[in-house]
Amino acid sequence: MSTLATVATFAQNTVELEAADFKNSQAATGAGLAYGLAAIGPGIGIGYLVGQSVQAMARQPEAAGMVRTTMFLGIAFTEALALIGFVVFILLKFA
Amino acid sequence: MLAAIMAAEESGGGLAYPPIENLVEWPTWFGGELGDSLYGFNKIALISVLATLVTALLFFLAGRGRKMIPKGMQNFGEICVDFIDKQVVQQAIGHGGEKYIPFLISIFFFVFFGNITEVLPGFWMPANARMANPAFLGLLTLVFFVAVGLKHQGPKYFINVGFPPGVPKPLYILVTPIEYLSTFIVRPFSLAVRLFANMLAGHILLVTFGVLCIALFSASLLGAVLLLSFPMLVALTAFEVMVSFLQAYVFAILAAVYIGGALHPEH
Amino acid sequence: MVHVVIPAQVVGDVAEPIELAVALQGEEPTQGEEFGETVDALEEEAVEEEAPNPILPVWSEMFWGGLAFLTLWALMKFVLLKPIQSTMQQRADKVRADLEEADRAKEAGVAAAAQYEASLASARAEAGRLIDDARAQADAQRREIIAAAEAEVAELKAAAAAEVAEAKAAALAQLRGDVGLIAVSAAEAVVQRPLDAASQGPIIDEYLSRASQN
Repeated sequence: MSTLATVATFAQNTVELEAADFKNSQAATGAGLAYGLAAIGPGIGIGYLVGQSVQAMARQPEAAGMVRTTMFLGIAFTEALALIGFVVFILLKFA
Repeated sequence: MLAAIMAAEESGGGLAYPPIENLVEWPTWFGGELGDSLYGFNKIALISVLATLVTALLFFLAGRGRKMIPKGMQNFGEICVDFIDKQVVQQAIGHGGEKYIPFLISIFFFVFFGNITEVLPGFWMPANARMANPAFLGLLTLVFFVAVGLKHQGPKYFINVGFPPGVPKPLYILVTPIEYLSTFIVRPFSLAVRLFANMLAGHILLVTFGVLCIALFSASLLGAVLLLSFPMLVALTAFEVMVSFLQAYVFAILAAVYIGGALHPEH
Repeated sequence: MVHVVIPAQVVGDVAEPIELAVALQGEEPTQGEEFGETVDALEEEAVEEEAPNPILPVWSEMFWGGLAFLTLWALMKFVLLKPIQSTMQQRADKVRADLEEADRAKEAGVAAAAQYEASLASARAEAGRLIDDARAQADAQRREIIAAAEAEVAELKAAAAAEVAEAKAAALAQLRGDVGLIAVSAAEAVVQRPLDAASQGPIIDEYLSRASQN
């Protein structure tokens, strides 16, 4: 009877362990995907934004200061999406 | 960094990445355990206090010389004030924004100092890679621009925020909740998360390359790769210096943009 | 870390796990203990990870950070920025004043230059007027001299003409007398008789006047 109880606890433990492993692996996959997918859009967006800003600055060098400030603002707003992806990555991976 | 070295030593020179708690959580020196007490003093708190002390000292020294032709520290102070005035206030708020220079210059230097400790020897830790300071600054900015809006537009400010002019009436059903959400929740949240995530990412990047360099240095066979990873670490350090400055600038200019929006309702 | 994973289906079967459990208990009791410890440690870790999330802010850090920032803000607002900004304001005022002064000086210079130009122009006009006057005077003088000379020349010419006419008249008179005498004497020689010169005179004159008319 005592052996049966041991087996029962053992089995329960192993199953729980497996569940934890499963959750961890799923979390790791999700984390990687979260960051990778979140980086696509802002990557394209920032590239386009900076390219257009450089064009604007080349066409009108006297407006370069204003364009640069606006460019940084735009980068900050666009980048926020990628950073939220990064935060989700951290949350999934470590929390 | 020390934790990384210890981890590498323990695993016999192999590549072992330290758990993230070791990278960003610092034990308190006095005032109770981290997370339990309200005023436990650890490295992050030290950096915050030092940021205030160093900035105050710099500006005190800068304010002592009052010559017509600036020299030494006076140059530094005037360049800083001029930078915030020309690059942040005039660009984002416009005329009438001179009142907010003290707030913005404090934000800029507090954030910048909290960022630059990421690469300063002896600290190796950006204070803003912990959510505490960015969250506080984000909430304070929210309180500040709401106060500015209430002062300059009165209670109508809350109506002006939700109902921007030039929108067809039925669309307000859609626009108004979005405006309220973006103004009062997304703005402080995105301010804080932008700064926090940038610095945390930079810190993790530097730690990753640091751990890599240590592991490769102790493993003699792989030493050749060190020639690639070490210059990368140096380049990333320079990159992080730039990011430190840029994030402080972006935080200040976004705070200025939000204040400007509360000051002039038409924008 | 040792991972012993037993699929759930196997656990469902009774016979084999008992043997396995017996084997574990009998032969390697330490492994079982270690395994249990690992599971316990994992559970503890899971409990620990719930509390300090690396994302969430920690109150003590926020307390110190907020205190430090508010101090910095107050210092900036009331103490630190005042001298710098007042110095910059003074400098800006001085620069503005200097620029205005420079503008004024420039305007004065321009005015002086205009005045100088005006005086120069008037002097030039005066000089031109003087030259014109002198030229007119000289012209008048010249005209006078030329007129005088011309008058003199005319006078001289008239005098010469009168003299010539006089000489001509004298020569003519003399010639007439001579011609009369010669004609009378020639006629005396022809007729062999003395002729009265006085009575023949009008005929000769008439002839001569006819000849001079022809």
